Amino acid sequence: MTELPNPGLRPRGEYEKLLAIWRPPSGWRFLSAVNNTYIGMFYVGTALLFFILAGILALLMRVQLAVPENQFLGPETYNQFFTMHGTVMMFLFAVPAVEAVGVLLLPNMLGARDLPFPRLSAYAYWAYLVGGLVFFASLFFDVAPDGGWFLYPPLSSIVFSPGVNNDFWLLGIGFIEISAIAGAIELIVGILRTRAPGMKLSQMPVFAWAMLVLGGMIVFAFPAVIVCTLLLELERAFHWPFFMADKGGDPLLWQHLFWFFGHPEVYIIFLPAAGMVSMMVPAMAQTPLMGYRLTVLALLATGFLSFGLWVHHMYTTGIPQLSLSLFTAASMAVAVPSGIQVFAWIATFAAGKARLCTPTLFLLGFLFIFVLGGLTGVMVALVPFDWQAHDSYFVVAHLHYVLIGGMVFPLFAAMYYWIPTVSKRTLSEKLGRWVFALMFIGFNLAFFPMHITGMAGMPRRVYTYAESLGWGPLNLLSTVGAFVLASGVLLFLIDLARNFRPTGAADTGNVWNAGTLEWVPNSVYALRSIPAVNGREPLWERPTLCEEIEAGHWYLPDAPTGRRETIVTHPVDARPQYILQLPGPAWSSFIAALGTAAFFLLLTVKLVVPALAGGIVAIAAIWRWAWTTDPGATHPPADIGGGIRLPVYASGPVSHAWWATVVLLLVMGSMFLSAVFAYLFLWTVSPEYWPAADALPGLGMPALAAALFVASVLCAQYASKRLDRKRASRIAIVAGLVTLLAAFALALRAHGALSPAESGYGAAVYALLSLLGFYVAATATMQLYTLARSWYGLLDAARRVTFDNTRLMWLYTAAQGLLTLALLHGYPRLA
Amino acid sequence: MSAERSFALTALRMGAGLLVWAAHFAAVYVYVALVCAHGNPGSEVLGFSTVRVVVMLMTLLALGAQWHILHQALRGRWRKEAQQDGQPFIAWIAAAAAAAGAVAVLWSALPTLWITLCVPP
Repeated sequence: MTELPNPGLRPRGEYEKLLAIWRPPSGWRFLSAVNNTYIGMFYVGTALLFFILAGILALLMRVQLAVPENQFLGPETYNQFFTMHGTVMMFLFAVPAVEAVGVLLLPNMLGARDLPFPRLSAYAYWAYLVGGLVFFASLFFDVAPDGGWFLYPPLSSIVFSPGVNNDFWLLGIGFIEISAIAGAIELIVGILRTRAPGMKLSQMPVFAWAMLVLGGMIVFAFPAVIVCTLLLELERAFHWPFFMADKGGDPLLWQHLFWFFGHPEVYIIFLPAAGMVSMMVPAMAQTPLMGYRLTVLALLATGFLSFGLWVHHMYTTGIPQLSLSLFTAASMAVAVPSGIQVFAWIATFAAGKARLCTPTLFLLGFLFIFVLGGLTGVMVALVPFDWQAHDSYFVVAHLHYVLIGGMVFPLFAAMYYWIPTVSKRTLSEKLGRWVFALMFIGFNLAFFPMHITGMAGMPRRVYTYAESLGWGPLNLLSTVGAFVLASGVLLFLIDLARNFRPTGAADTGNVWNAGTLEWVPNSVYALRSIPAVNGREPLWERPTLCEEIEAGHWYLPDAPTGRRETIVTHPVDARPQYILQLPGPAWSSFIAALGTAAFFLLLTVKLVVPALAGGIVAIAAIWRWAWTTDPGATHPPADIGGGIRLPVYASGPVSHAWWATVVLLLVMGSMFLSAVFAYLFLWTVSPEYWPAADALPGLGMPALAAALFVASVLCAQYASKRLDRKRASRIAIVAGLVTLLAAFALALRAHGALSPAESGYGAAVYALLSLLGFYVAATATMQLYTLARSWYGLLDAARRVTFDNTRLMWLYTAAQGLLTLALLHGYPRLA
Repeated sequence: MSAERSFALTALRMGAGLLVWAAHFAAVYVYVALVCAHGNPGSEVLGFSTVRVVVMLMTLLALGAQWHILHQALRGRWRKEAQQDGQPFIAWIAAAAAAAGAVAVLWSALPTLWITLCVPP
């Protein structure tokens, strides 16, 4: 595709029309903006804010630890500070920051005008901002969580932590995870479906690969932490004994579920940073990345292997030796793909001519620190060493070398590197070098001594120590280092204040002579026209590309439907499939986020009625938001250039909405699997709490429930075929709704007098049923919404995206209902 | 072929080797956990520990699957289809992931040969 699809001059007024369509609202209405450029910048800024807030907590902790027997912070305050520091850094800074960079950069990098669900991005952002700020504010009222960032029971149980502190963690973090999952769905569908025409999988920027793997990991890892936080909250609120050993629960269940999320979380943070590095190194060295295929393979392998490491946080819990050996092997194996990437970056630097400017310095600093962190990672992967180092400052040193080295240094490199794409001015090279020097020296001064303090026996999470232990000088050194590091961050903020001038209209240009599309001059509409891509560095391969894009010579230089649009392409070979009409600014996503935040946060402080009101507001706002997003074929197929005419509406598996729903179902399936794991795990550790086969409820009611689930599925299929007949399809949807509700009611009643508070068995049974109930309620809401659209004449055999999404959810819920019945009534009879 | 089927097939092929590793890892972990909790870890088959024999059989099965994927990606239908589509990258990743997956399966399973089974260390 080297011939220009739209040669010649563009019609007068076309550019102004495009600009007007994409212009964000002004004044206070700016809060309703949904464009990825703005939401992405808000996102990055907010993540930085939380980085600074959590960093201040770290400095206060370092002041406390600077000298022995210090009384600067009391033990209760210290507990809250270290819990909030870890939690905020992991959940409110690291994951949102990498998603934020994806939201900001990916559309331009992939040649799209925006991500496919801009209002979802806006919802995820506002939910994160409001939830995060309220969560952080708990510190000022002395109700912040204080059980460590992993909140182990039984310490975090209602018996040992009766205040609301840990409820803030459980509901606050559970809620923020929803925001992260929303972001992941957006990114996965965006990467797979909105790439520039011709951009095959083998030509995708490595950062896009990294974000795709990140999305997949979030889909499968985050549900585990959502489930375990729900279980612990159920235990704290209603005494369902999931983690109480004397009632057939087990505290180790928490650790399994938490770390099934917690270890992949490290790579969820690292892989996008590695993806950024793989974009920056070639630009800095002015040569393509060495080992592109191996790098992609390394990203995929890390994504898989990282799920086989969770027990390496549990070596001291008494797990059988053979099981430990499996996890040791996987923990060591995961160093291999990381090593492949490190060698690819070194080889790229060696092959090109590296410019020693600020991003390069941060990249070299990252390589040094991350490799050291990786080496200590292999050390703690070994069981005998881990027994010595477990819960000591050695682990604190290791995790900071990995996380700050592996994510913070690349992020700072990324800010110095990519800010020119969104700012009128670049950041200062002179200040940047100082920032790097202070951060690099400060970091190593702060964290290297911790390896030694740890080996000298200093445990984590102690608020002070006796002078006689001899840890004072090393701790003082760490404190000095922390302040040097912080001064580097402060200098960065000064640089930002002096030079960062965000603009939606004009940027600094391709200051690094990079080869990828995010460096094409852009505006609020992203690219003026969308190019065909035939290589990994299109700007290097076709030096005139920028001018051609700006002149509107490539695809979709206008807005044929008069709305915001982008091209949806095939996920494998990126052949154009249809024009996606994107929703514009709206208050609904903003209000939905506020309502969702109110629901979760008010529930934390036991204000149930206001919380429910918040939930209703959220549902109403989401309903309003969704109402306009299935416009149907409002416009005939439109010409995008080069003789290509594309439809402006698609339904079924081709539709981007169908893809998002499938990803959502994967999340729901992962949550179900986590709940199944909890059920089977508790059986494994305490089978004596499971009823004998003859004490189980009869099979009549479950069989009837199963028949109703099947009947509901048949209704879905019938409605799908009869969308052209309004009355028949409505009757089928209503029948499907009624049978689904009846099936769930029977599934619930089948357990008769069993109480969830009675034992781990009862709790596990009702956890599975509660999850099913939640999905049934969500499906019922979608069925009612679909009926409403049918009633208003917005649903027919052609305009059916809404119905297709509801049907997918409907079929999934019925399938999970059948599996839940089989597990609850079949497994105890077979076990 | 519709978009989602073609992508699902492509994704499955590219990740097959790693999926086999994950399946083997999960199967061994669950099997060992169940035997240690409720089974008879001391039982033997033909003088060999049953647990070790079963794990080795799982490992051979996983290696067989990796071999099949490798063959498909290097010489079989997967390679031909990838070349027809102008996307040899897909077959390359499938083959490399299967090779890496095979090494990972062996690496994970090797300790089974000499590590004590169920005793916490």
